[in-house]
Amino acid sequence: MNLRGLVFVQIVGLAGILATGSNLAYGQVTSERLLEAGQEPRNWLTYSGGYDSQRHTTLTGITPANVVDLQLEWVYQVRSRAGAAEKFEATPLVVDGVMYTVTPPNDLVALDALTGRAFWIYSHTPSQDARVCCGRINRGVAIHGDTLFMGTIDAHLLAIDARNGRLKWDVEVADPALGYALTVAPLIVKDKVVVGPAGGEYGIRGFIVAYDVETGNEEWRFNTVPGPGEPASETWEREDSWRTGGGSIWVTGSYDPELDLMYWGVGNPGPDWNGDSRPGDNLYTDSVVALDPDNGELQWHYQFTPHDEMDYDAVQVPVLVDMNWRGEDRQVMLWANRNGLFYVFDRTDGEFLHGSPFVEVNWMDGFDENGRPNQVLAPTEGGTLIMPNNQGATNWYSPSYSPETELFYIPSWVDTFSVYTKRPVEYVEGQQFVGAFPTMAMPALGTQPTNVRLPEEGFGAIQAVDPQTGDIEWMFEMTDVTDSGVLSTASNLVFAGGREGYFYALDARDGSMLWRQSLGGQVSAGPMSYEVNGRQYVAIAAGAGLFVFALPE
Amino acid sequence: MIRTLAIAAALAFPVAASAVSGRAAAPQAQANFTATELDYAEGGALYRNRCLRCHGPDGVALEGTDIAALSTTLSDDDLLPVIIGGIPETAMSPTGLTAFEAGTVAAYLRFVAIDRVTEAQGDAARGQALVEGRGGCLVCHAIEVAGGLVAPDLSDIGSRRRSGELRDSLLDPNAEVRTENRFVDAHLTGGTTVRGRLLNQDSFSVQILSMDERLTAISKSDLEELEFIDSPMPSFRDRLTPQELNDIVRYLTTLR
Repeated sequence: MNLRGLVFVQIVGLAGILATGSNLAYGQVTSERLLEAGQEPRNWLTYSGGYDSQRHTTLTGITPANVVDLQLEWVYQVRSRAGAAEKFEATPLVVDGVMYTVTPPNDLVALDALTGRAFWIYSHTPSQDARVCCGRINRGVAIHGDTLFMGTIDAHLLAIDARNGRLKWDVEVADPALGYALTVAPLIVKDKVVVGPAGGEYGIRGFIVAYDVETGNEEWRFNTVPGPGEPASETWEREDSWRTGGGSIWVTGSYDPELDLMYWGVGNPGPDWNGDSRPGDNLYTDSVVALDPDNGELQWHYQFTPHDEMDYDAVQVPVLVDMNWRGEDRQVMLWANRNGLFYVFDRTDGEFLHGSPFVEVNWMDGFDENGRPNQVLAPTEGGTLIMPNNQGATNWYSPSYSPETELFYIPSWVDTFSVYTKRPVEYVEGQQFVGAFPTMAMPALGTQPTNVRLPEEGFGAIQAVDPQTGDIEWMFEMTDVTDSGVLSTASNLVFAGGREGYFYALDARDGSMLWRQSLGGQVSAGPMSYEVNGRQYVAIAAGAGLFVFALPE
Repeated sequence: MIRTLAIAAALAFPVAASAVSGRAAAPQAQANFTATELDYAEGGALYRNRCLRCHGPDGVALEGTDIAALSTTLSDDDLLPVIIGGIPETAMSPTGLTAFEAGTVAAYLRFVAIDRVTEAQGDAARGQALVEGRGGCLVCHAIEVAGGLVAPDLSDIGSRRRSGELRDSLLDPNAEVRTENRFVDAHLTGGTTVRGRLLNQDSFSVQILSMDERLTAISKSDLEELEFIDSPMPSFRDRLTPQELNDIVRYLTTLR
């Protein structure tokens, strides 16, 4: 078997050299390759599969007609006992037959994409100072040249040689003892690697920061919570509230090379569920920001949930689409927000084009002409029932857009609610800074075998939304909710999973289920697809394993 | 979900002697103290983290200091500063809790005191005889190896439920059924019905412990309707005397 594996690798290596058609060494991912990632669908070069973040593959080997034959090729199990107890949220990269992914907490592994055998593992032991609200999570790596970039749960950014797993440089992005952590898969733009810290439940002050890919030197920093004298600081009306204002970054942004604009979703303000200490809109929390990637300067922004007290964040992957939108060719951005609303923006200038609910929403009842929501409910001391619930109508789970069907696919929690109760909250360094946790039904595969979800608590779904209207064209319902991303294919398939541990192939046109596999563990990651030796694979993390499927040879 | 505690009514029961240490005050019945279940749960968690090591699970571990009983005799104005700031020159050091957090601890202590009063009315030996005999509880419930399987196992129910909750369940079994204890009728497309306790479900199947104690899996494609039904447990409101009810509650609280 070992000999056979070696032969495979050599073949893959040759294919890689031939396919790049240049003098580049095998496996080298230049900025140009990242810009043209769509031209080499056999590889998956960024977190969302390309700068437009459509999480769409043009590979068509697997089709609605043959997907019924899809079978398991290999499984990679999380190796560390501690890591196996954490959520496995990473989307792998695949570069010329080699897969790179991160198993919890911060074990970066290079695998043969054909067999799942490991080439090397780089294991980072996080500092005991690391503190996280929601598990020791990592969503994956970025690659530039021969270098992989991994954020760590103790707020470091590491540059690691993709060929041998050796550390090249290590910078501390922020102080983990204050609740700063890196869970996001970094974004490479030109010669910079861009990240931001999680920690919205610890009273951090968020930022987006760019480092030189070669040296690790900080190139620029954009404060997602402005301080005195900075634009929008007037939206933090109480003195010093900005110091603990949140505005975390934990989902990877997108990049439009033509406009040379980078887009990021910004997390919730701190404290989460009682905004009395931070009067004002609290920019740029719960916003999308469009930044100049060369200097980090803000070009435009839109705030989804001003003065948020429901922890709705704005932590979605911005999906960039060039389309004819209501009769006009436009460069739009599609966004299904945790707050229950689906949005369309003109991404050149941030113009609000459309907003409409995709689930039951009761916290707002409409928009003004600038797209500002008219909020009608908020937490109270007696408790307020608000829809959607605290986990949101969707969350960090990657959506997908298919240019074939022209539909936008959302992993949704449909018709959920929380009772939000306003309670006093005080800031203590390094401790959670949140308020009273809202009520919420949170079943899922865990230590108990029992799914106790009640029908009246809502349900999970993959929804297909028409960006022209916001109408839901079809909905695939699950009994439990889903933390899965969605992958669409040019052959009109949609792949997604759910908390019940199933992984599905749906017909992208009507949502009918064409294939399913039980993986025995919760799907909390986005699917991706790649090709080796002309054969298409689909990969998904579930439970403590990475599962890879293909059609029979 | 607002639960109102009538402290005055609770104090009509004989509170355990030597309830109040040192600077004892005459019981001052407050008006209704209002706390939510959420407050109670939060207070209980805080108590276990911050108070239990010295005061013990029932608040009586320090000789002469029954803080549960004390909590029913003091107003929040008197009690909360002690919970927050401690008592100078004693082992009771400041906790640093917020006023709200201290309030939830006080609410928890008052629940403990009331539960204790009702428990004190019962005789565990008589309760055991009723559970195993005329009450018929073991037809459906198990205690250790004895009894039925279809209803929730009671072997450690005393560590999972307060006596007040046990009393409520005996009097009105359907008032609050935990989601893991729901019973269903699974109506199959063929016309038959499987009744039992719902163990699990997902998008494609349900798993049931049927009334004849069989583990039964049903594909949703064979399912006409999954109907949630009332608990098969009868109310003991008219089947037991108040004393017998106290005896059973007392016995159940000893199961840990």
